[in-house]
Amino acid sequence: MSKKNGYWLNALNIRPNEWWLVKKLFIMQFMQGAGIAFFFTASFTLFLHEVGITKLPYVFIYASVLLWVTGFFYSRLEHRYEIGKLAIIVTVFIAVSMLLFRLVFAYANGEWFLYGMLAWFNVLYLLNNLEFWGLAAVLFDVRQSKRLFSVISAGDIPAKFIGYTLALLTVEYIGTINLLWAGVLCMLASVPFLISIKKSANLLEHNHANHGHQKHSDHKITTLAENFAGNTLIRRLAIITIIVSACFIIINYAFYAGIKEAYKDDVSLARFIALFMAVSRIIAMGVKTVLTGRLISRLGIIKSLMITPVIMILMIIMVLIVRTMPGNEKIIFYLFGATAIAIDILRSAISTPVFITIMQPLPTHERLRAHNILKGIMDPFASLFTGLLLLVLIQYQPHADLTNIYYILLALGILWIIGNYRVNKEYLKTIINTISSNYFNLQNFSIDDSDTVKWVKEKVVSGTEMEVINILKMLDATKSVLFNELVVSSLQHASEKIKAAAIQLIQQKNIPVEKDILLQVLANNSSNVKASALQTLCKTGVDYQLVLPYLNDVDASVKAAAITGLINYGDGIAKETAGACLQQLVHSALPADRINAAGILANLHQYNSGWRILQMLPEADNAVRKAVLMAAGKTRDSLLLDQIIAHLVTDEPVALQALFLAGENALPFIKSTIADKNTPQLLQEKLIYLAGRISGSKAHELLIGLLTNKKELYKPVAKALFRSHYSTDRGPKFYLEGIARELLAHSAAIVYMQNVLLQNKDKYQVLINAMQIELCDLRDALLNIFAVLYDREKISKVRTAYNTGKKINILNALEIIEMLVRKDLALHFNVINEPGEIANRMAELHELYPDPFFKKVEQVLINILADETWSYHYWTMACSLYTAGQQQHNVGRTLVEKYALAENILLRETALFVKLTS
Amino acid sequence: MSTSAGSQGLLLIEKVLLLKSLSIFSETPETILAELAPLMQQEEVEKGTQIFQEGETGDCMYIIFSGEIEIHKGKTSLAILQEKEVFGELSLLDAETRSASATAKTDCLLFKIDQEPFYELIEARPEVAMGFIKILCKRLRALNDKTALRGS
Repeated sequence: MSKKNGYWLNALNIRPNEWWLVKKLFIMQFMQGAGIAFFFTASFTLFLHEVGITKLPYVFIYASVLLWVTGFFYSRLEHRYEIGKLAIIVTVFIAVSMLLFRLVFAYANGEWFLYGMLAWFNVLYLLNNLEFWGLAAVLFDVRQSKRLFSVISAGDIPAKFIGYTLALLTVEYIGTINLLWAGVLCMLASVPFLISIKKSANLLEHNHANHGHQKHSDHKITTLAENFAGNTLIRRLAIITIIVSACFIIINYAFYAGIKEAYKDDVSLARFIALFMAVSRIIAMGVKTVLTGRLISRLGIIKSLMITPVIMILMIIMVLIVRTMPGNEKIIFYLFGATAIAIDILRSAISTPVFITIMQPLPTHERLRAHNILKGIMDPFASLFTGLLLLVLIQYQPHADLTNIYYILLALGILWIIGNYRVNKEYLKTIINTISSNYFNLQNFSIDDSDTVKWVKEKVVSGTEMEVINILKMLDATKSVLFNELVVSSLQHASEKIKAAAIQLIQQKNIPVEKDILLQVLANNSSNVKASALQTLCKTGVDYQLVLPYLNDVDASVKAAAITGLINYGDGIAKETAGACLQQLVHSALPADRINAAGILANLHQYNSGWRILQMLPEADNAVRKAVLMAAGKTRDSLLLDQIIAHLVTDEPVALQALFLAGENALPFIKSTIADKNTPQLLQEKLIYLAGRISGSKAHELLIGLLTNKKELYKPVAKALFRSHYSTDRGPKFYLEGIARELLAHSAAIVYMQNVLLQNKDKYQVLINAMQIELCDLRDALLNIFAVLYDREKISKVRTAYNTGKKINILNALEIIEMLVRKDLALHFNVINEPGEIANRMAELHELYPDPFFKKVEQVLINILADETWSYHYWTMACSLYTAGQQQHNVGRTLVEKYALAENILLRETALFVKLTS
Repeated sequence: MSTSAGSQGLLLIEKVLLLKSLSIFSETPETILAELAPLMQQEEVEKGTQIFQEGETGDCMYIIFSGEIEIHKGKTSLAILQEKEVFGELSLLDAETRSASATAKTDCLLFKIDQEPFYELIEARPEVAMGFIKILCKRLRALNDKTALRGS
């Protein structure tokens, strides 16, 4: 591709691989737009001249009926034919109908023909819209649609400009009706392009007619109406469509009424209409081709949608202000003309492409239906509604006082803005649902009537285990006043499991229980239940003589519960006896006893158990050492935490668990271990995840600090922050956005590096793949940061979408990013992470990161191997060394020597290989 | 793949690339395979050597780097496996008996991964287990689809 072409594609926001299709669609729309323009000029001029503006509302009403019928037949045909074939059929039909009007004109007398012709224009306009947008909707995905719809739809604007200009120049000589010949020729000229698009684009993949397995067999308006009612996004879009169309029709009506007053003879009238149309089309084209795509990308959906109604409201307010001053009729006329032009331009240049973009996340068949509903049903509604409204106005104000029209437009403008907000809200929901529809909502649960209370009370004693557990869970979750009573009642349940669960709840929530009930439980049940009951009993201040016999129980858990209960809650003698028992266990020759002792020590309050545990620590038996370390963690004693850290080398998994048990107290120790240069990277990562699991403000402080001090650990730190359910307040938000910017710049650098390597793909495939893994990791880290910054749940959907690997899901995910994440971050993220060929994204990337830096493969390799800010995977560094060796790239002796001494075996071995072979 | 393999064997990086070229690991990131590669032990097997016998308890998987391996039940040949194919892979995760025998049809260069060091690796690097779980899920889904297709 030439540089010049590249410049234009860049200016139009088109990627090289999309150009052929965009070009064909543009030309096709150009031809069809010109055809429609010729038909409109002829029919409208003839109507205004022969019939008059006050009869125009009748045309709207007739057109509404015709439009419904057309929409009905179109939807039938759409199910029968694939979209490419249907587009050809429709185009030929339009050409034939124009030809018939021209031929019949010579024999037709009377106004009915002109009413019919102008109403038919609406049909042709609708068909052209349905066919063109239907085709575009299946050819492009949601991301492409944002960039390209404005460009491809701009094709009809130069066409209409040329059509109207030709009409302006020729109408005097050839007569208005002969413009229809030009219309027929233009329509037929578009057919070869349609055929070409049909042949080359993969339309079958998206074909509506081929969705045989989906249930939408009947082609009735009722089906469309069902869809209208069933899909909130479609419904809201449909309502806005009516409002937009009504505004457009009313403004035009008022403006044409003014024109009719100003231009009395038919030629000057036709010339003015053609000139007005030509000027407005050429401005619209400029806006559409250069601005719209970028505007939608930069502003987002909601702001783009607001442009048209806000401008309309402002201009109407200006008209109303000017009207209060006498002698300003001409200014009002021009102001209204400007409003008509502005709304016409903005509607076609911004509102329509944005509406189509909003529909893109819907499944293909639903998207086409939505399109039919909007164009085939709602446009006619708007036409009918406006026609009737204007008729009423004309009846009460025959002298065309437009005051009421201004107020109606203001009201419609406000409704339009409200509607836009509602559409935007639903758009986000639709994107999320498209990615995953498995939403789970907890239902509220409440018990208030006496029958239900009675039933629940019976169930906790006699129901199945599952029933009782569910009832207790629900009562707990809903903070029911019955909870405590029913937990105690469930101790009478026959199941040991239920009793154990109930005792645990009693302990956890300090539920008061009568001693007799606990003694009953103690006498009859399993060791598990007994142990829990003993502890609870001690807590209630029972006669300790009742507990002492259990100090010699054969069951270790019962014995431990008795010792723990008596030491924690007992008095002098009982406490001493229990302490002696514990000492026996600590010094026992049996590992099982020592394990039991460690468990007991962990649960003692105010017993100075820390030093006892410390004494137990030089322990040879693995199982005992594990129990002691866990006990050490539970005590949260700083002396013991130091010991746990020392055990990280030999007993890593247990030591990590013990640190977790120590909670926030362990954080200073974790921090210093991570900072220690001698700590292996893998252990650093595990400690970071551990800090995330500990959670809380201190853990978050530690993690946030690491993002600055240890940038190379950004991946585990971002993940840990996400996993710990961290959410930002104002300060860290700003800071984390800064970190995200740095990660994005690093991602961009990786894409640049990939681009350099891709110039010789076969040679560097291994390294390209490694860089892709780096890019995925960065994306994941960014998503973690976005999740803590913006919306955890929705960003998780983005991650899920990437995990599916499906392009359509990823594109929808990028939409979520655009809507949730700060604009500049979202733009950079999406350009870097959009699926598809890197070469196609380079132009956009150059705009964001103009200095490519990497020009040679050596630079890439050295950058990876020498970078000390960002840590690359060992794999990536090994691939760089390997590539340097295999492809004879000189990365410098120092770097190779450095890695020949690396701790990681993969790196060391590869570096030694390069050293030997170079 | 052009390799540095000779009598010295493959480099670790080349072992990773070999693993990546196998269909079962084609979607596993190289960063995870880099953890697995050090466990690969090279074995040269002469033609006719029995690698394992039906009914034996399996505790390792094999990757064929070169040569052909016949999988058979008694004298009935079930499959001939070639370069870049694996056998016995489920034995990495469980210790069930081998359902068929494996014998070298030609001189072969194999890579063997034992179960025990694999378990140790999983303990230290859970992401390796996650990679394997993904592979198993994929196979399970494919099997479910196949069964559903047969059922319909």
